[in-house]
Amino acid sequence: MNNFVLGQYVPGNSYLHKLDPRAKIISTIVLMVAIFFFKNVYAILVSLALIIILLLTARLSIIKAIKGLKPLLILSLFVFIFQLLFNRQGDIIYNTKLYFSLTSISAILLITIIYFISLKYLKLKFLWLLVYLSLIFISLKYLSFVELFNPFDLNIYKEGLNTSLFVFFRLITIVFISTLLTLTTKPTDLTLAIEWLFRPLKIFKINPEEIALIITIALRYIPTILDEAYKIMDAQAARGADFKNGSLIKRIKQLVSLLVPMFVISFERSDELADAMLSRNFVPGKPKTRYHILKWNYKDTVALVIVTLFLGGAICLYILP
Amino acid sequence: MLIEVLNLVYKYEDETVNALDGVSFNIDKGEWVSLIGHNGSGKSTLSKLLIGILSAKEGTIKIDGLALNEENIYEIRKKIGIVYQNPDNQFVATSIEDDIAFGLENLEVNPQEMEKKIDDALNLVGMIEYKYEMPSNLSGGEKQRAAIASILAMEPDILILDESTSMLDPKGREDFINVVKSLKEKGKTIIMITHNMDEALLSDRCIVLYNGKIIRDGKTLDVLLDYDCLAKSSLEMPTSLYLFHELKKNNYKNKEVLNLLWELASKK
Repeated sequence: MNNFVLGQYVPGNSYLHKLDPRAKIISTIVLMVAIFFFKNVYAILVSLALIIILLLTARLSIIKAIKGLKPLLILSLFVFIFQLLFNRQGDIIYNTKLYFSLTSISAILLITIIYFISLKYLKLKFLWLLVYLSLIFISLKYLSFVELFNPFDLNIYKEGLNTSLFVFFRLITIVFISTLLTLTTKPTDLTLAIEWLFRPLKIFKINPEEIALIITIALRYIPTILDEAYKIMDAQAARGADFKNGSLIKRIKQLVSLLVPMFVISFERSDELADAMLSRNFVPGKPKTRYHILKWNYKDTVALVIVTLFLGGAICLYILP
Repeated sequence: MLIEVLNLVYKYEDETVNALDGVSFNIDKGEWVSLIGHNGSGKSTLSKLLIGILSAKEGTIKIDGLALNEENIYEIRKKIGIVYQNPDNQFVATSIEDDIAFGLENLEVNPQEMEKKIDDALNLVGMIEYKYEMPSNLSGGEKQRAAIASILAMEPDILILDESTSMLDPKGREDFINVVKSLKEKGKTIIMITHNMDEALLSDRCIVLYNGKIIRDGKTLDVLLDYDCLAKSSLEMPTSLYLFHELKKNNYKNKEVLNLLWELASKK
Protein backbone atom coordinates (compact mmCIF):
# COMPACT_ATOMS: atom_id res chain seq x y z
CA MET A 1 0.00 0.00 0.00
CA ASN A 2 2.95 2.31 -0.41
CA ASN A 3 2.54 5.57 -2.30
CA PHE A 4 -1.17 5.58 -1.84
CA VAL A 5 -2.62 8.70 -3.46
CA LEU A 6 -5.58 10.34 -1.84
CA GLY A 7 -8.49 11.19 -4.07
CA GLN A 8 -8.02 11.95 -7.71
CA TYR A 9 -5.97 15.10 -7.38
CA VAL A 10 -3.45 15.58 -10.17
CA PRO A 11 -0.76 18.14 -9.33
CA GLY A 12 -0.57 20.90 -11.86
CA ASN A 13 -0.31 24.58 -12.51
CA SER A 14 -3.32 25.36 -14.67
CA TYR A 15 -5.79 28.19 -14.16
CA LEU A 16 -8.21 25.66 -12.69
CA HIS A 17 -5.59 24.56 -10.15
CA LYS A 18 -4.96 28.16 -9.20
CA LEU A 19 -8.57 29.07 -8.53
CA ASP A 20 -9.57 29.42 -4.91
CA PRO A 21 -11.11 26.12 -3.71
CA ARG A 22 -14.10 28.03 -2.35
CA ALA A 23 -14.77 29.48 -5.81
CA LYS A 24 -14.41 26.01 -7.27
CA ILE A 25 -16.83 24.36 -4.86
CA ILE A 26 -19.45 27.07 -5.31
CA SER A 27 -19.01 26.98 -9.11
CA THR A 28 -19.42 23.21 -9.11
CA ILE A 29 -22.69 23.46 -7.22
CA VAL A 30 -23.96 26.30 -9.43
CA LEU A 31 -23.09 24.39 -12.61
CA MET A 32 -24.81 21.24 -11.37
CA VAL A 33 -27.96 23.21 -10.57
CA ALA A 34 -27.80 24.79 -14.04
CA ILE A 35 -27.58 21.36 -15.68
CA PHE A 36 -30.80 20.36 -13.95
CA PHE A 37 -32.62 23.31 -15.53
CA PHE A 38 -31.91 22.08 -19.06
CA LYS A 39 -34.80 20.36 -20.73
CA ASN A 40 -33.31 19.06 -23.94
CA VAL A 41 -30.38 16.92 -24.85
CA TYR A 42 -28.67 19.53 -27.07
CA ALA A 43 -28.19 21.97 -24.20
CA ILE A 44 -26.67 19.15 -22.17
CA LEU A 45 -24.37 18.17 -25.02
CA VAL A 46 -23.22 21.77 -25.43
CA SER A 47 -22.41 22.00 -21.72
CA LEU A 48 -20.63 18.65 -21.82
CA ALA A 49 -18.54 19.98 -24.69
CA LEU A 50 -17.79 23.14 -22.69
CA ILE A 51 -16.70 21.05 -19.70
CA ILE A 52 -14.43 18.97 -21.93
CA ILE A 53 -12.93 22.15 -23.37
CA LEU A 54 -12.26 23.29 -19.78
CA LEU A 55 -10.62 19.94 -19.06
CA LEU A 56 -8.41 20.15 -22.12
CA THR A 57 -7.38 23.77 -21.68
CA ALA A 58 -6.38 22.96 -18.10
CA ARG A 59 -4.17 20.21 -19.58
CA LEU A 60 -5.98 17.49 -17.71
CA SER A 61 -6.11 14.06 -19.21
CA ILE A 62 -9.52 13.06 -20.45
CA ILE A 63 -8.77 9.45 -19.58
CA LYS A 64 -8.49 10.41 -15.89
CA ALA A 65 -11.86 12.12 -16.10
CA ILE A 66 -13.44 9.11 -17.78
CA LYS A 67 -11.98 6.91 -15.05
CA GLY A 68 -13.87 9.10 -12.60
CA LEU A 69 -17.05 7.98 -14.36
CA LYS A 70 -16.35 4.35 -13.63
CA PRO A 71 -18.52 3.85 -10.56
CA LEU A 72 -21.48 5.41 -12.38
CA LEU A 73 -21.08 3.79 -15.80
CA ILE A 74 -23.11 0.68 -15.03
CA LEU A 75 -25.81 2.73 -13.33
CA SER A 76 -26.09 5.13 -16.27
CA LEU A 77 -26.18 2.21 -18.72
CA PHE A 78 -29.12 0.68 -16.86
CA VAL A 79 -30.94 4.00 -16.69
CA PHE A 80 -30.36 4.32 -20.43
CA ILE A 81 -31.72 0.85 -21.31
CA PHE A 82 -34.64 1.20 -18.93
CA GLN A 83 -35.76 4.50 -20.44
CA LEU A 84 -35.27 3.13 -23.94
CA LEU A 85 -37.48 0.09 -23.34
CA PHE A 86 -40.26 1.47 -21.19
CA ASN A 87 -40.84 5.05 -22.28
CA ARG A 88 -43.67 4.83 -24.83
CA GLN A 89 -44.31 8.34 -26.03
CA GLY A 90 -44.04 9.80 -29.53
CA ASP A 91 -43.69 7.91 -32.80
CA ILE A 92 -42.18 4.49 -33.17
CA ILE A 93 -38.78 4.93 -34.76
CA TYR A 94 -37.52 1.40 -34.61
CA ASN A 95 -39.32 -1.90 -34.56
CA THR A 96 -38.07 -5.43 -34.49
CA LYS A 97 -39.14 -8.86 -33.40
CA LEU A 98 -37.15 -10.72 -30.74
CA TYR A 99 -37.35 -14.49 -30.82
CA PHE A 100 -37.10 -16.62 -27.71
CA SER A 101 -36.10 -19.80 -29.47
CA LEU A 102 -34.08 -22.82 -28.49
CA THR A 103 -31.17 -21.56 -30.57
CA SER A 104 -31.21 -18.00 -29.27
CA ILE A 105 -31.52 -19.05 -25.63
CA SER A 106 -28.69 -21.55 -25.92
CA ALA A 107 -26.61 -18.92 -27.69
CA ILE A 108 -27.27 -16.50 -24.84
CA LEU A 109 -26.27 -19.12 -22.30
CA LEU A 110 -23.05 -19.76 -24.17
CA ILE A 111 -22.27 -16.04 -24.47
CA THR A 112 -22.98 -15.55 -20.76
CA ILE A 113 -20.62 -18.35 -19.77
CA ILE A 114 -17.90 -17.00 -22.04
CA TYR A 115 -18.51 -13.50 -20.70
CA PHE A 116 -18.10 -14.42 -17.06
CA ILE A 117 -15.05 -16.58 -17.69
CA SER A 118 -13.32 -13.94 -19.80
CA LEU A 119 -14.23 -11.16 -17.36
CA LYS A 120 -11.42 -12.20 -15.05
CA TYR A 121 -8.76 -11.68 -17.69
CA LEU A 122 -9.95 -8.47 -19.30
CA LYS A 123 -9.23 -4.88 -18.46
CA LEU A 124 -11.89 -2.87 -20.30
CA LYS A 125 -14.77 -4.48 -18.48
CA PHE A 126 -17.30 -1.87 -19.42
CA LEU A 127 -16.66 -2.17 -23.16
CA TRP A 128 -16.87 -5.90 -22.78
CA LEU A 129 -20.25 -5.51 -21.06
CA LEU A 130 -21.47 -3.47 -24.05
CA VAL A 131 -20.27 -6.16 -26.46
CA TYR A 132 -22.00 -8.78 -24.31
CA LEU A 133 -25.30 -6.91 -24.31
CA SER A 134 -25.23 -6.35 -28.07
CA LEU A 135 -24.41 -10.03 -28.69
CA ILE A 136 -27.49 -10.96 -26.66
CA PHE A 137 -29.54 -8.54 -28.72
CA ILE A 138 -28.23 -9.96 -32.00
CA SER A 139 -28.95 -13.54 -31.01
CA LEU A 140 -32.47 -12.64 -29.89
CA LYS A 141 -33.09 -10.89 -33.17
CA TYR A 142 -31.71 -13.34 -35.71
CA LEU A 143 -31.76 -16.81 -34.16
CA SER A 144 -35.39 -17.83 -34.62
CA PHE A 145 -35.00 -21.59 -35.16
CA VAL A 146 -37.25 -23.77 -32.90
CA GLU A 147 -39.35 -21.08 -31.26
CA LEU A 148 -40.39 -21.72 -27.67
CA PHE A 149 -42.47 -18.61 -26.99
CA ASN A 150 -44.26 -16.04 -29.07
CA PRO A 151 -41.90 -13.47 -30.52
CA PHE A 152 -41.67 -10.23 -28.57
CA ASP A 153 -42.32 -6.96 -30.35
CA LEU A 154 -39.60 -4.49 -29.48
CA ASN A 155 -40.63 -0.91 -30.19
CA ILE A 156 -38.41 2.05 -29.59
CA TYR A 157 -40.23 5.34 -29.40
CA LYS A 158 -38.89 8.75 -30.26
CA GLU A 159 -39.42 10.18 -26.79
CA GLY A 160 -37.91 7.06 -25.26
CA LEU A 161 -34.71 7.55 -27.20
CA ASN A 162 -34.65 11.27 -26.44
CA THR A 163 -35.20 10.85 -22.72
CA SER A 164 -32.72 8.03 -22.38
CA LEU A 165 -30.01 10.01 -24.16
CA PHE A 166 -30.93 13.06 -22.08
CA VAL A 167 -30.75 11.25 -18.75
CA PHE A 168 -27.56 9.48 -19.75
CA PHE A 169 -25.73 12.62 -20.80
CA ARG A 170 -27.01 14.62 -17.86
CA LEU A 171 -25.56 12.07 -15.46
CA ILE A 172 -22.24 12.05 -17.29
CA THR A 173 -22.05 15.83 -17.41
CA ILE A 174 -22.67 16.13 -13.70
CA VAL A 175 -20.00 13.58 -12.89
CA PHE A 176 -17.59 15.39 -15.21
CA ILE A 177 -18.21 18.67 -13.41
CA SER A 178 -17.42 17.14 -10.04
CA THR A 179 -14.36 15.41 -11.49
CA LEU A 180 -13.14 18.79 -12.66
CA LEU A 181 -13.19 19.87 -9.02
CA THR A 182 -11.52 16.81 -7.56
CA LEU A 183 -8.85 16.57 -10.25
CA THR A 184 -7.65 20.13 -9.69
CA THR A 185 -8.06 20.61 -5.93
CA LYS A 186 -5.91 19.18 -3.16
CA PRO A 187 -7.88 17.38 -0.43
CA THR A 188 -6.40 19.78 2.13
CA ASP A 189 -7.62 22.78 0.12
CA LEU A 190 -11.04 21.20 -0.19
CA THR A 191 -11.13 20.81 3.58
CA LEU A 192 -10.17 24.45 4.11
CA ALA A 193 -12.87 25.55 1.68
CA ILE A 194 -15.48 23.36 3.36
CA GLU A 195 -14.50 24.86 6.68
CA TRP A 196 -15.02 28.35 5.26
CA LEU A 197 -18.31 27.45 3.61
CA PHE A 198 -19.63 25.93 6.83
CA ARG A 199 -19.01 29.08 8.81
CA PRO A 200 -22.68 30.08 8.85
CA LEU A 201 -23.32 26.87 10.83
CA LYS A 202 -21.79 28.60 13.85
CA ILE A 203 -25.30 29.92 14.52
CA PHE A 204 -26.32 26.34 15.27
CA LYS A 205 -23.30 25.90 17.57
CA ILE A 206 -21.55 23.70 15.04
CA ASN A 207 -17.87 24.50 14.90
CA PRO A 208 -16.64 24.42 11.28
CA GLU A 209 -13.04 24.03 12.48
CA GLU A 210 -13.97 20.78 14.16
CA ILE A 211 -15.68 19.53 11.01
CA ALA A 212 -12.55 20.37 9.03
CA LEU A 213 -10.38 18.58 11.60
CA ILE A 214 -12.60 15.50 11.41
CA ILE A 215 -12.31 15.45 7.61
CA THR A 216 -8.53 15.92 7.79
CA ILE A 217 -8.08 13.10 10.29
CA ALA A 218 -10.35 10.84 8.24
CA LEU A 219 -8.32 11.57 5.10
CA ARG A 220 -5.06 11.01 6.95
CA TYR A 221 -6.13 7.64 8.34
CA ILE A 222 -7.69 6.15 5.19
CA PRO A 223 -4.39 4.69 3.93
CA THR A 224 -3.32 3.58 7.43
CA ILE A 225 -6.59 1.81 8.11
CA LEU A 226 -6.65 0.24 4.63
CA ASP A 227 -3.18 -1.06 5.30
CA GLU A 228 -4.39 -2.50 8.58
CA ALA A 229 -7.39 -4.12 6.90
CA TYR A 230 -5.08 -5.94 4.50
CA LYS A 231 -2.90 -7.11 7.38
CA ILE A 232 -5.88 -8.43 9.32
CA MET A 233 -7.29 -10.11 6.20
CA ASP A 234 -3.95 -11.85 5.72
CA ALA A 235 -3.87 -12.86 9.36
CA GLN A 236 -7.42 -14.24 9.21
CA ALA A 237 -6.69 -15.96 5.91
CA ALA A 238 -3.77 -17.68 7.62
CA ARG A 239 -6.32 -18.94 10.16
CA GLY A 240 -8.54 -20.30 7.42
CA ALA A 241 -10.87 -17.41 6.65
CA ASP A 242 -11.84 -17.03 3.01
CA PHE A 243 -12.92 -13.55 1.94
CA LYS A 244 -13.10 -14.20 -1.78
CA ASN A 245 -15.13 -17.37 -2.32
CA GLY A 246 -18.33 -18.81 -0.95
CA SER A 247 -21.90 -17.61 -0.84
CA LEU A 248 -22.77 -14.04 0.02
CA ILE A 249 -23.91 -14.93 3.54
CA LYS A 250 -20.71 -16.87 4.14
CA ARG A 251 -18.62 -13.95 2.97
CA ILE A 252 -20.54 -11.51 5.15
CA LYS A 253 -19.86 -13.79 8.11
CA GLN A 254 -16.17 -13.79 7.23
CA LEU A 255 -16.29 -10.01 7.14
CA VAL A 256 -17.17 -9.98 10.84
CA SER A 257 -13.76 -11.45 11.56
CA LEU A 258 -12.30 -8.42 9.80
CA LEU A 259 -14.59 -5.75 11.22
CA VAL A 260 -14.35 -6.63 14.91
CA PRO A 261 -10.55 -6.29 15.13
CA MET A 262 -10.72 -3.21 12.90
CA PHE A 263 -13.10 -1.52 15.33
CA VAL A 264 -11.09 -2.46 18.40
CA ILE A 265 -7.85 -1.22 16.84
CA SER A 266 -9.49 1.98 15.64
CA PHE A 267 -10.72 2.78 19.13
CA GLU A 268 -7.24 2.22 20.56
CA ARG A 269 -5.83 4.35 17.80
CA SER A 270 -8.21 7.19 18.50
CA ASP A 271 -7.31 7.08 22.20
CA GLU A 272 -3.62 7.40 21.42
CA LEU A 273 -4.23 10.08 18.82
CA ALA A 274 -6.29 12.05 21.32
CA ASP A 275 -3.39 11.90 23.80
CA ALA A 276 -0.95 12.98 21.11
CA MET A 277 -3.20 15.90 20.14
CA LEU A 278 -3.67 16.99 23.75
CA SER A 279 0.06 16.90 24.39
CA ARG A 280 0.49 19.17 21.37
CA ASN A 281 -1.67 21.76 23.06
CA PHE A 282 -4.87 21.07 21.19
CA VAL A 283 -7.86 22.53 22.96
CA PRO A 284 -11.23 22.02 21.25
CA GLY A 285 -12.89 25.30 20.36
CA LYS A 286 -9.90 27.44 21.28
CA PRO A 287 -8.92 30.06 18.69
CA LYS A 288 -6.01 29.02 16.46
CA THR A 289 -3.91 30.68 13.85
CA ARG A 290 -3.90 29.15 10.38
CA TYR A 291 -0.91 27.97 8.37
CA HIS A 292 -2.77 27.79 5.07
CA ILE A 293 -4.70 30.91 4.28
CA LEU A 294 -7.05 30.95 1.31
CA LYS A 295 -6.64 33.97 -0.93
CA TRP A 296 -9.57 35.20 -2.98
CA ASN A 297 -8.41 36.61 -6.31
CA TYR A 298 -10.20 38.67 -8.96
CA LYS A 299 -10.06 35.53 -11.14
CA ASP A 300 -12.24 33.73 -8.62
CA THR A 301 -14.83 36.49 -8.86
CA VAL A 302 -14.67 36.25 -12.67
CA ALA A 303 -15.19 32.47 -12.51
CA LEU A 304 -18.16 32.90 -10.19
CA VAL A 305 -19.69 35.57 -12.47
CA ILE A 306 -19.31 33.29 -15.50
CA VAL A 307 -20.97 30.27 -13.86
CA THR A 308 -23.74 32.49 -12.47
CA LEU A 309 -24.40 33.83 -15.97
CA PHE A 310 -24.48 30.23 -17.18
CA LEU A 311 -27.05 29.40 -14.50
CA GLY A 312 -29.02 32.51 -15.50
CA GLY A 313 -29.01 31.34 -19.11
CA ALA A 314 -30.19 27.89 -18.06
CA ILE A 315 -33.06 29.39 -16.06
CA CYS A 316 -34.04 31.60 -19.01
CA LEU A 317 -34.13 28.57 -21.30
CA TYR A 318 -36.25 26.79 -18.72
CA ILE A 319 -38.81 29.58 -18.41
CA LEU A 320 -39.01 30.47 -22.11
CA PRO A 321 -41.13 28.08 -24.12
CA MET B 1 15.32 22.06 39.10
CA LEU B 2 13.31 21.81 35.90
CA ILE B 3 11.04 19.00 37.04
CA GLU B 4 10.10 18.44 40.65
CA VAL B 5 7.86 15.51 41.45
CA LEU B 6 6.81 14.91 45.03
CA ASN B 7 4.98 11.91 46.42
CA LEU B 8 2.88 11.21 43.33
CA VAL B 9 -0.01 8.73 43.69
CA TYR B 10 -2.29 7.61 40.91
CA LYS B 11 -4.87 4.83 40.66
CA TYR B 12 -6.81 3.77 37.57
CA GLU B 13 -10.54 3.58 38.25
CA ASP B 14 -11.03 -0.10 37.54
CA GLU B 15 -7.99 -1.29 39.47
CA THR B 16 -7.34 -1.97 43.12
CA VAL B 17 -3.61 -1.24 43.33
CA ASN B 18 -2.08 2.16 42.80
CA ALA B 19 -0.45 2.48 39.38
CA LEU B 20 1.92 5.00 40.93
CA ASP B 21 2.56 4.87 44.63
CA GLY B 22 4.47 7.75 46.19
CA VAL B 23 6.88 8.62 43.41
CA SER B 24 9.32 11.49 44.03
CA PHE B 25 12.25 12.69 41.93
CA ASN B 26 13.84 15.84 40.54
CA ILE B 27 15.30 16.34 37.09
CA ASP B 28 17.78 19.07 36.21
CA LYS B 29 17.81 21.09 33.04
CA GLY B 30 19.78 19.35 30.28
CA GLU B 31 19.69 15.91 31.90
CA TRP B 32 19.00 12.77 29.90
CA VAL B 33 17.06 10.42 32.15
CA SER B 34 15.96 6.88 31.36
CA LEU B 35 12.79 5.61 32.96
CA ILE B 36 12.94 1.83 33.00
CA GLY B 37 10.82 -0.91 34.46
CA HIS B 38 8.69 -3.90 33.58
CA ASN B 39 5.38 -3.65 31.70
CA GLY B 40 2.77 -2.08 33.93
CA SER B 41 5.32 -0.58 36.31
CA GLY B 42 3.79 2.86 35.81
CA LYS B 43 6.22 4.43 33.34
CA SER B 44 3.66 5.58 30.81
CA THR B 45 1.26 6.63 33.55
CA LEU B 46 4.00 8.87 34.85
CA SER B 47 4.45 10.52 31.46
CA LYS B 48 0.71 11.13 31.18
CA LEU B 49 0.67 12.71 34.63
CA LEU B 50 3.60 14.98 33.80
CA ILE B 51 1.70 16.48 30.87
CA GLY B 52 -1.63 16.59 32.66
CA ILE B 53 -3.56 14.10 30.54
CA LEU B 54 -4.21 12.22 33.77
CA SER B 55 -4.46 14.04 37.09
CA ALA B 56 -2.83 12.65 40.21
CA LYS B 57 -4.69 11.60 43.32
CA GLU B 58 -2.00 12.93 45.60
CA GLY B 59 1.30 14.65 45.24
CA THR B 60 2.60 17.62 43.31
CA ILE B 61 4.34 18.15 40.01
CA LYS B 62 6.31 21.32 39.38
CA ILE B 63 7.63 22.08 35.93
CA ASP B 64 10.06 24.99 35.71
CA GLY B 65 8.71 26.34 39.00
CA LEU B 66 5.06 26.09 37.92
CA ALA B 67 2.88 23.72 39.91
CA LEU B 68 0.71 21.63 37.60
CA ASN B 69 -2.97 22.45 38.06
CA GLU B 70 -6.10 23.15 36.02
CA GLU B 71 -5.17 26.76 35.30
CA ASN B 72 -1.65 26.45 33.98
CA ILE B 73 -1.97 23.05 32.36
CA TYR B 74 -1.65 24.64 28.89
CA GLU B 75 1.42 26.63 29.98
CA ILE B 76 3.00 23.39 31.10
CA ARG B 77 2.10 21.48 27.95
CA LYS B 78 4.00 24.14 26.02
CA LYS B 79 7.12 23.13 27.92
CA ILE B 80 6.81 19.38 27.38
CA GLY B 81 6.61 17.40 24.16
CA ILE B 82 5.90 13.67 23.95
CA VAL B 83 6.78 11.25 21.18
CA TYR B 84 4.65 8.14 21.59
CA GLN B 85 5.26 4.50 20.80
CA ASN B 86 3.16 3.92 17.70
CA PRO B 87 4.40 6.04 14.81
CA ASP B 88 1.02 5.76 13.08
CA ASN B 89 -1.08 7.20 15.86
CA GLN B 90 0.42 10.66 16.28
CA PHE B 91 -0.17 12.33 12.95
CA VAL B 92 -3.16 14.56 12.54
CA ALA B 93 -2.70 15.95 9.05
CA THR B 94 -2.26 14.55 5.57
CA SER B 95 1.25 15.93 5.07
CA ILE B 96 4.28 16.29 7.33
CA GLU B 97 4.25 20.05 6.78
CA ASP B 98 0.61 20.36 7.86
CA ASP B 99 1.16 18.07 10.81
CA ILE B 100 3.93 20.28 12.19
CA ALA B 101 1.69 23.27 11.52
CA PHE B 102 -1.04 21.66 13.66
CA GLY B 103 0.99 22.19 16.85
CA LEU B 104 2.00 25.69 15.81
CA GLU B 105 -1.61 26.61 15.07
CA ASN B 106 -2.57 25.43 18.53
CA LEU B 107 0.10 27.69 20.02
CA GLU B 108 -1.28 30.59 17.95
CA VAL B 109 2.04 31.17 16.23
CA ASN B 110 1.96 33.96 13.65
CA PRO B 111 1.32 32.36 10.21
CA GLN B 112 4.24 34.24 8.66
CA GLU B 113 6.69 32.60 11.06
CA MET B 114 5.31 29.09 10.64
CA GLU B 115 7.10 28.15 7.44
CA LYS B 116 10.50 28.96 8.93
CA LYS B 117 9.77 27.05 12.13
CA ILE B 118 8.60 24.04 10.13
CA ASP B 119 11.74 24.07 7.98
CA ASP B 120 14.01 24.51 11.01
CA ALA B 121 12.42 21.59 12.84
CA LEU B 122 12.64 19.36 9.76
CA ASN B 123 16.29 20.30 9.27
CA LEU B 124 17.05 19.41 12.90
CA VAL B 125 15.85 15.84 12.33
CA GLY B 126 17.16 15.63 8.75
CA MET B 127 13.74 15.23 7.18
CA ILE B 128 13.43 18.39 5.09
CA GLU B 129 12.99 16.46 1.85
CA TYR B 130 9.87 14.82 3.26
CA LYS B 131 8.10 18.10 3.92
CA TYR B 132 5.21 17.51 1.53
CA GLU B 133 5.06 13.74 1.97
CA MET B 134 2.05 11.90 3.36
CA PRO B 135 2.77 10.32 6.76
CA SER B 136 1.57 6.93 5.54
CA ASN B 137 4.25 6.91 2.83
CA LEU B 138 7.13 7.09 5.36
CA SER B 139 8.93 4.24 7.09
CA GLY B 140 8.58 3.77 10.84
CA GLY B 141 11.87 5.51 11.64
CA GLU B 142 11.05 8.43 9.36
CA LYS B 143 7.63 8.76 10.96
CA GLN B 144 9.15 8.94 14.44
CA ARG B 145 11.69 11.54 13.35
CA ALA B 146 8.86 13.53 11.77
CA ALA B 147 6.96 13.17 15.05
CA ILE B 148 9.98 14.65 16.87
CA ALA B 149 10.04 17.50 14.36
CA SER B 150 6.35 18.19 15.05
CA ILE B 151 7.22 18.52 18.71
CA LEU B 152 10.50 20.40 18.28
CA ALA B 153 8.75 23.07 16.23
CA MET B 154 6.79 23.91 19.37
CA GLU B 155 10.10 24.48 21.17
CA PRO B 156 9.54 22.55 24.40
CA ASP B 157 12.25 22.41 27.08
CA ILE B 158 11.48 18.82 27.92
CA LEU B 159 11.16 15.93 25.52
CA ILE B 160 9.51 12.71 26.70
CA LEU B 161 10.12 9.67 24.52
CA ASP B 162 7.51 7.10 25.49
CA GLU B 163 8.95 3.85 24.09
CA SER B 164 9.39 5.75 20.84
CA THR B 165 11.85 3.28 19.35
CA SER B 166 10.12 0.04 20.26
CA MET B 167 8.40 -0.35 16.90
CA LEU B 168 11.37 0.63 14.75
CA ASP B 169 13.86 -1.48 12.83
CA PRO B 170 17.59 -1.20 13.78
CA LYS B 171 18.30 1.44 11.14
CA GLY B 172 15.29 3.53 12.10
CA ARG B 173 16.29 3.19 15.76
CA GLU B 174 19.84 4.33 15.08
CA ASP B 175 18.70 7.40 13.11
CA PHE B 176 16.21 8.22 15.82
CA ILE B 177 18.78 7.89 18.61
CA ASN B 178 21.21 10.09 16.68
CA VAL B 179 18.59 12.81 16.56
CA VAL B 180 18.02 12.46 20.31
CA LYS B 181 21.78 12.71 20.94
CA SER B 182 21.97 15.94 18.93
CA LEU B 183 19.05 17.36 20.90
CA LYS B 184 20.76 16.53 24.17
CA GLU B 185 23.79 18.50 22.94
CA LYS B 186 21.49 21.44 22.25
CA GLY B 187 20.53 21.42 25.92
CA LYS B 188 17.09 19.79 25.81
CA THR B 189 16.03 17.79 28.82
CA ILE B 190 15.18 14.26 27.76
CA ILE B 191 13.11 11.69 29.59
CA MET B 192 13.30 8.38 27.81
CA ILE B 193 10.92 5.58 28.70
CA THR B 194 12.41 2.40 27.32
CA HIS B 195 12.77 -1.35 27.46
CA ASN B 196 15.95 -1.30 25.46
CA MET B 197 18.90 -1.36 27.85
CA ASP B 198 21.41 -0.37 25.19
CA GLU B 199 19.42 2.84 24.77
CA ALA B 200 19.20 3.35 28.52
CA LEU B 201 22.98 3.10 28.59
CA LEU B 202 23.18 6.33 26.57
CA SER B 203 21.48 8.40 29.25
CA ASP B 204 23.03 10.19 32.21
CA ARG B 205 20.74 8.76 34.82
CA CYS B 206 18.35 5.87 35.27
CA ILE B 207 15.19 5.65 37.33
CA VAL B 208 13.85 2.14 37.88
CA LEU B 209 10.14 1.80 38.54
CA TYR B 210 8.74 -1.35 40.08
CA ASN B 211 5.00 -1.72 40.73
CA GLY B 212 4.52 2.03 40.87
CA LYS B 213 7.46 2.73 43.15
CA ILE B 214 10.94 3.99 42.41
CA ILE B 215 13.30 1.24 43.54
CA ARG B 216 16.49 2.73 42.16
CA ASP B 217 17.54 6.18 41.01
CA GLY B 218 21.14 6.93 40.16
CA LYS B 219 23.90 7.28 37.61
CA THR B 220 23.23 5.06 34.59
CA LEU B 221 26.28 2.83 35.03
CA ASP B 222 25.62 2.30 38.73
CA VAL B 223 22.02 1.36 38.15
CA LEU B 224 22.64 -0.84 35.14
CA LEU B 225 25.38 -2.73 36.98
CA ASP B 226 22.96 -3.50 39.82
CA TYR B 227 22.14 -7.02 38.74
CA ASP B 228 19.59 -7.75 41.49
CA CYS B 229 17.62 -4.60 40.89
CA LEU B 230 17.40 -5.26 37.16
CA ALA B 231 16.48 -8.90 37.66
CA LYS B 232 13.69 -7.89 40.03
CA SER B 233 12.23 -5.65 37.32
CA SER B 234 12.60 -8.36 34.67
CA LEU B 235 15.11 -6.21 32.84
CA GLU B 236 18.30 -7.35 31.17
CA MET B 237 21.71 -5.90 31.70
CA PRO B 238 23.24 -4.44 28.50
CA THR B 239 25.50 -7.07 26.94
CA SER B 240 28.78 -5.23 27.51
CA LEU B 241 27.96 -4.52 31.15
CA TYR B 242 26.82 -8.10 31.68
CA LEU B 243 30.17 -9.38 30.44
CA PHE B 244 31.99 -6.96 32.72
CA HIS B 245 29.82 -7.98 35.64
CA GLU B 246 30.32 -11.72 35.11
CA LEU B 247 34.05 -11.49 34.57
CA LYS B 248 34.49 -9.42 37.69
CA LYS B 249 32.34 -11.77 39.72
CA ASN B 250 34.56 -14.67 38.66
CA ASN B 251 37.70 -12.79 39.70
CA TYR B 252 38.97 -12.29 36.22
CA LYS B 253 42.31 -10.57 36.61
CA ASN B 254 43.20 -9.15 33.20
CA LYS B 255 42.82 -5.41 33.90
CA GLU B 256 43.23 -4.56 30.24
CA VAL B 257 40.16 -6.52 29.12
CA LEU B 258 38.10 -5.17 31.99
CA ASN B 259 39.08 -1.59 31.18
CA LEU B 260 38.24 -2.17 27.54
CA LEU B 261 34.78 -3.45 28.45
CA TRP B 262 34.25 -0.58 30.85
CA GLU B 263 35.16 1.92 28.17
CA LEU B 264 32.85 0.20 25.73
CA ALA B 265 29.99 0.43 28.17
CA SER B 266 30.58 4.06 29.13
CA LYS B 267 31.02 5.25 25.57
CA LYS B 268 28.09 7.25 24.34
